[in-house]
Amino acid sequence: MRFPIKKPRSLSFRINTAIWTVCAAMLLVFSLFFYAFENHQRQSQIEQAKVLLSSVYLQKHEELANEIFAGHREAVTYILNEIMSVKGIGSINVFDTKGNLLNSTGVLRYPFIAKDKRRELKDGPQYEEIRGEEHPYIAFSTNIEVIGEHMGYFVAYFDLSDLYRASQMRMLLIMAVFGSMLVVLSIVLHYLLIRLVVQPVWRLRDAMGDVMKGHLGAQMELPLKDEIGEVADAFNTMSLQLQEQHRRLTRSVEARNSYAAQLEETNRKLAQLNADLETIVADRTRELRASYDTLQTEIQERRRTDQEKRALEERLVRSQKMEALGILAGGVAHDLNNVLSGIVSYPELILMDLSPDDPLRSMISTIQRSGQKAAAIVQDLLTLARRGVTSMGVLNLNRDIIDEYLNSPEFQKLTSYHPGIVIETYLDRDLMNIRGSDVHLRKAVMNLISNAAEAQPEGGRIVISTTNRYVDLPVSGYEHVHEGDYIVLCVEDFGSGIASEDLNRIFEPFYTKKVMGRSGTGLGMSVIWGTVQDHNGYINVESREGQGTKFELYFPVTREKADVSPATFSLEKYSGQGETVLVIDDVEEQREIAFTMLTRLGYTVVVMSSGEAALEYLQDHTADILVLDMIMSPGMDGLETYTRIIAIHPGQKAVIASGFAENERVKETQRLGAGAYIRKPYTLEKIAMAIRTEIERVKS
Amino acid sequence: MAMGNIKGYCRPILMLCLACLFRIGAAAAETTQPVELAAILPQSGKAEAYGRAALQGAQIAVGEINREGGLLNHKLTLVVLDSQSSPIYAKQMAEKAIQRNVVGVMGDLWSTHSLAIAPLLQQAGIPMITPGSTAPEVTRIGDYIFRSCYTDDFQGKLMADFAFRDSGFRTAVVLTNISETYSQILAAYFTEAFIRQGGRVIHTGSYKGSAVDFSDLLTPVVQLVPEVVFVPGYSRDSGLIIKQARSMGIHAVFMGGDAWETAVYDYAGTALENSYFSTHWHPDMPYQPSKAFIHAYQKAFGPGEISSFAPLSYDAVRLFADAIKRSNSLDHAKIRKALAETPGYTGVTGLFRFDANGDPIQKGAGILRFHDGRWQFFKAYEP
Repeated sequence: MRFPIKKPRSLSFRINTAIWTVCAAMLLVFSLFFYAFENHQRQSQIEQAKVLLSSVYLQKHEELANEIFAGHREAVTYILNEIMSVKGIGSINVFDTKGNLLNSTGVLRYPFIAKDKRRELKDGPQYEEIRGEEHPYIAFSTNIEVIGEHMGYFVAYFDLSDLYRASQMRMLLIMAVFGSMLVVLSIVLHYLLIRLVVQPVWRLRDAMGDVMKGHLGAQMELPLKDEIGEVADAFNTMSLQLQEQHRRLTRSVEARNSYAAQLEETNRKLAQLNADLETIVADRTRELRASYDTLQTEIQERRRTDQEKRALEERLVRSQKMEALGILAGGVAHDLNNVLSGIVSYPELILMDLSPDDPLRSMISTIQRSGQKAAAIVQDLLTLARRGVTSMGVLNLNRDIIDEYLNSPEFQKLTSYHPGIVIETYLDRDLMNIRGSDVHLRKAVMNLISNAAEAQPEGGRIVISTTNRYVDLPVSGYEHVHEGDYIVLCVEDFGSGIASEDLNRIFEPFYTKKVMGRSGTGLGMSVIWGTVQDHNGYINVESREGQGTKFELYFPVTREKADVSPATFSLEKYSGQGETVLVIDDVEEQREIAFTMLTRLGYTVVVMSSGEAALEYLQDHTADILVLDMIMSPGMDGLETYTRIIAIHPGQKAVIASGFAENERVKETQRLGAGAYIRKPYTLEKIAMAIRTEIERVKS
Repeated sequence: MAMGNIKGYCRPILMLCLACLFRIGAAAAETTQPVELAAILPQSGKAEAYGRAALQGAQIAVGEINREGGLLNHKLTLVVLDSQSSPIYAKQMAEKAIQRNVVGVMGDLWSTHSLAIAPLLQQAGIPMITPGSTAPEVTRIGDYIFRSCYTDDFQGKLMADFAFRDSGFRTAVVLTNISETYSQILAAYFTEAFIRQGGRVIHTGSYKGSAVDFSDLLTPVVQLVPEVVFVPGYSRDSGLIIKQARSMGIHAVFMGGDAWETAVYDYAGTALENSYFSTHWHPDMPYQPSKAFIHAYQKAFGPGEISSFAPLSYDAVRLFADAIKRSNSLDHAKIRKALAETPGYTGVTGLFRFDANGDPIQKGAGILRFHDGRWQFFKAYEP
């Protein structure tokens, strides 16, 4: 059972609404009546004003006419002022017979009276209401006429604003009084109704509310003998009956409830058992599925790890193999370098002494070329040993390597061998600089293009492209490329391709399927490998049999500017002026070559076969500069020798000459003060430049 | 006697006299048309008393003329036209006179009213003699306009001389009636002459004729304490002003012009003590015909004070009669010419000879002083 409980104040609200509605209606009706009355009042006052104006005029008109006629303007003003003393008359204008203003008093002042108006006034005086902006007026206009003599016109203005204001004040006052009476009346009504009707109803409501909340049997004291009182009595009776019924009902419900509770408990337990069982089965199933998934993942993980491990191992093996081959080649190369020195150096000296038409000249030239070729092979081997990169400069791969190569005689020779080949280049114009050895890089490019051409014996396209590339996620292809800024050189052919079983071995020395003898040494790919390694770069190879091969070479970018290309060599410029050069070398042939070259260059040359001998010599001699071999066995090497020499002669100038590439000990020696490093076998040009530059270098 | 008193019982007597005069006239010239002389005079309104006195003088003159045999064998009839103290009425009366083609007009009295009729009569070519309008402008309107009284320039100078030289006053206040040309003009002449003598006019006030309360006018005078207050107004206004001034504590000597008349006493009473005004005529003035006139007047109207306007209008009528006789014609132009050439007529108010304007030359004046409860002849002036 539910009562619709509304807002508790709604009854009083309705009563108030009723009271205020009646009051408002009364106020409205009263206002309308009063307004009509006031309007009538105002009209009659206006009529009175008209009567006043005309009687004032009649009283004064004769006098006024005489003064106008006699031309006594001052007297006219006087009369007007007298008229003005009548309360309410605001302004008076007097015009002559032609309608021009004669005299005026008050605010309103018109210079003439219109002809039409004058004509109208002949028929009698006129009244006119003027609603001015500030003051409303009644204008009284008339002819001034005495005994048939027309003397002019008289216009008087009665200011109605006082009258209107009084009327408004009266309305406001009456409204205020009536309004406040209504307010008082409504408050009294409100009080009585609340007291006599609403409050008993509230008490009834509160008592009902008690019953609703369950306080059955609640009674209310209401000593009223009206309808509300009867309702209260009925309520009291009903409340008691309800209480009794409720008591009986409660008892039977309690009995029923206890049975129901037992039944429910049994059902609940049964349901619980079912639920538990389902939960257990589901849990078990889930666990099984999870362990199966884990197992699958582990299997896949292990498989993948195995693959990675195998790949890594392959790469490691490849690296180790290349390393081992490098060491082998390097060892051979060092010895061969020394052996080759004679063959390379002497022909040059001999040719300088020979006359141009000497029959031996061509033979010695052949020896020189053979020696140079052998030296090139040795260089390849040294590159392989990663001790070959001796001079690293800042260069741009496009300009310094690729363009140069494509314009070189070697490339001309290549195209003449492979007339069907078309070279396409896509070179990044903004390609960044790298730090590297131009000789090695050119050789690598040459080898790549040469191989690409040979892969397409019937002719075809070779695409050469360069680009800047930032590797932010490590690339794992043929090699594992670390993140960083790179330039990438890509050479792609569309020839026979490389079989996948060969792909792993292409960089091994002398692993070739080509016809031996055409392209030389069998070290081409190994040199590429070595060069890339020496430049801290990476190689990626993609090849498909019958479709072609793509080599990508990654070189780390440098922010340095490219070197200025060295000036052309001039022997005169680099000749000595009798400075003392001390040559320290353990190999006899080397000492002889050095002695011959430096003497020719105009130096005073002293040679020593070991570091110990040189130290002893320098105890009581001086030398302007040393030419120091780095590796001398079995005695002190170059670094130790130099260290000791600068103990005797601090700031001793020196150039380093060695068959091996620049290494840590060379760098250490240079840090101590030694100058340029020249690689053996050196040419006249190189040794001359190195010594001259070092001598002229101002000690920092 | 006061003029107001005359009014009450004079009217029936006046009517009786008129009737007598007509009868006499009828006996003298039975067969011919009477000669009509218009008397445009206020017989009602604020100037009534002056008008009645003037009419009396005229009636005496007409009676005498008719007794003497009329004019050129015509009886002389006085056509009385009431100008009702109003310039407009005066104008209408003048029109009426022109319509009747009167032989001449005697009137009006006050300058304001005369100024209203003079232009019409000048235009119509009817000779006019005003017995009382002293404003110089009146006769300057044209050659048909004459007067039997002296002018304000003379009167103003006279009173200024009297105040400054004879009485030794140096500060004056002038109070003017703004409704009356006479009052304004006399005030102007007095002021001019007084200042020329070396006196100071320390204040000029103005009032409207027929007012009742003059306290606004007099309040500033109380504080100024002048030696003389010149009030060139008519008797009613002037009398009330003087009375109120005394009660407000103004002890200055009051002086006025001819318009005061002895009747000012009716309004001011003994407050007039030691006041002066100039007058056209007084029984004590040494003019020969005065005695006969007084006799005739008292015979006709009984004893009592005689207003100077009665002998002035008597003289005016007499002047007309004289001119008609001399010209021997009733033609307006001839009468005018004769008037202008009046050789030296001796009237009650003095010797008459007109100047080019139509103003009498060599007319004297008298100054009256109020003392011991009555007006006394104080001094005579001859030009």
